Amino acid sequence: MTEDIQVSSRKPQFIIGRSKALLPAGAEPLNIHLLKQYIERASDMDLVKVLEPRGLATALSREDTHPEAILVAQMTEERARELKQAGGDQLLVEVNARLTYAKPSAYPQSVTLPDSAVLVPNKLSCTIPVVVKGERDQAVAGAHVYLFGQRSFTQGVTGDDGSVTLTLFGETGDDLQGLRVDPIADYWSLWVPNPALAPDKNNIVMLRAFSQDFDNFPNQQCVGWGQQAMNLNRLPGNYTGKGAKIAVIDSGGATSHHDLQGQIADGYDFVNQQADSWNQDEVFHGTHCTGIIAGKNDNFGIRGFAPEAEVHEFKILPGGRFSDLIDALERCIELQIDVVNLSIGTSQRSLLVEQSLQKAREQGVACIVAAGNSGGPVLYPASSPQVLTVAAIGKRGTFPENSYHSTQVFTGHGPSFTPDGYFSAQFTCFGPEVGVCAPGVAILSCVPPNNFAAWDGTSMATPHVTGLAALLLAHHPDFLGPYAMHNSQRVQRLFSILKQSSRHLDLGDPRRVGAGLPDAMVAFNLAPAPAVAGPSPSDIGQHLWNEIQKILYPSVTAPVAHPVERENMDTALQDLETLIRQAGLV
Amino acid sequence: MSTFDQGTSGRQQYLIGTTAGSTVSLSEIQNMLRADPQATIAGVRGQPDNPSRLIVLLAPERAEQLREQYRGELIIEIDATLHPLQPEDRDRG
Repeated sequence: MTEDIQVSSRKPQFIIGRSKALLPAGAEPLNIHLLKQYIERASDMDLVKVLEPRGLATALSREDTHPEAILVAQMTEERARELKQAGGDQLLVEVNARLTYAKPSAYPQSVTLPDSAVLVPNKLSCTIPVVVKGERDQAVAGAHVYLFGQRSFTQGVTGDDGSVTLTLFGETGDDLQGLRVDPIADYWSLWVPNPALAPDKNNIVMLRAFSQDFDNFPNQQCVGWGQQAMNLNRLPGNYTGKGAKIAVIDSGGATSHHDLQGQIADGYDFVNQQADSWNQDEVFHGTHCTGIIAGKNDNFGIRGFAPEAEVHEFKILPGGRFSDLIDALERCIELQIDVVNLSIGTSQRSLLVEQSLQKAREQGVACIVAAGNSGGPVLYPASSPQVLTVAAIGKRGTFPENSYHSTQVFTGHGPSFTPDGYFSAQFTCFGPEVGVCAPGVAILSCVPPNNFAAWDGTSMATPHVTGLAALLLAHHPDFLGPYAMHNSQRVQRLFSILKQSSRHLDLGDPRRVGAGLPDAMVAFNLAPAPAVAGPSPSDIGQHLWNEIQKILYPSVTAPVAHPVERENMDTALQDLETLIRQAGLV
Repeated sequence: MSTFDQGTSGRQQYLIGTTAGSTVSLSEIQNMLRADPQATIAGVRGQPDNPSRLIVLLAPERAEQLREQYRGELIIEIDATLHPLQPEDRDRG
């Protein structure tokens, strides 16, 4: 019978040797032999081998280590840092990095495979049995398990007994980079960097249930960290979104889920041209988004932003194309939908979709779109000037440290975290098109048939903004009065309020967060607007306004002397952007 | 004996609409494409007698020909596939 072992991280390997730097006057040379003995005695370090210099006569005894020898040892990165600090300039401690061998790519550019330029030796492989367990040692079936080697990765799905066997070709078991486990539902994901896995044993992976972090979940309702970050939980109880019409253009919404039962008014399946299959969500994506927007506010599961809004589910995934998106947008216009959630995208652009988005906006249909997750330029339709584009952020402490969510922190120039612990998601697309950012890491919401899953993505960030938009359209006095008419001014006003309410997040690059994180209390004027750090924008704004007026309205000889208003600026900037795009300058 | 239709190889789905102010009728384009052995009409949107969009399977060369022929009148674009936006393995955008 195969022996069980617990899966843990493998210690990285370091090479340690004496520096050739000149010793300070009077300093004792570092004794590499003593260092070797120290490593051998330490319980948290493993000496792998000693590389003795060749061809050099050693003056030391047989028991001694040559002063120019290099030690190879395994230890934690923290221990390596301590060692380096103790050795000062005399000691070199470096990662014992892997070397690889390469050949020209065997694939055309249209095919993308991880590290395709690397030769895979035919006869080298490692096969690893993995068993995924959850609460009370129960087997977790259907979990996706990924094993990352140096040159490639492989994946499998656990069976009813929670087990899966993964084989990586061209790899040995001691150079694996990571093990990732994504359960379908009810548990957090798991990320084990440099996993120590045994090919001849059942490698046990224990998952952490949501109920360990959220009291009695799902039998007690959990208000998501994203909703709390946007202050949904501080709004008066009668702000439920009643009266607002929302469309979710996605993969459908599973009405089998308790939190969505009675929450979706209607729908249509545009891919199959069927009226009754919109509630079959094979992808789970639309259901997850809909839960964030409109999850039932009772004692069970999660709560959405606008649980009493009228939700329409327009299914265009899987297999949806631009033509299906246009069809769905036309339906939104026809039904006088107030706000549309688009957590979809592509790297292609379309003039015909652009025309539909423009038409929708002119008819008062506000489209809120996910920026994309490729970590590069904003995808389409998020890059359209007609929409509000949403980037994703996360927050430290909202997920277990060993979950895959912990790998989503963006570390670029500037601070990685705000003082409150917010971070930009490494996957988020970014650019000047980003209007706002919203919670998009470790977002707990509904998945079919009646479960919950924590997902990452700008797809998850966007419904947070859509939900707040629906609340504003239903309850903000502007949309019951001066902006009640369905037209582009109404959409512009909505986008302005969302941006103006946003808490600025200093994460180095404003293109990753836009105006910041919208705040429900501020948007409803129930809390003061956040202070803007840095120089007052008024002077810069007035100057910019004057310049824009000269470009846009050349017949006006002198700039209008009234103080610049944010709303005018937004409109003017949007006009300017349209002109720039039409001129082909971007 | 089975036949292999080389003409269908490499065809893609295109979306055809008119530009603002176009004088071309999509109804006429639809009739023309119906008679074209290189084209297959996969869908028609709008009024049956006055369509607003055509979804057509075409070879890229034929699509380019039509673009040239109706420059300024028709918009002919690849009917690209859309994806849900989740990170990494789920994101093909």
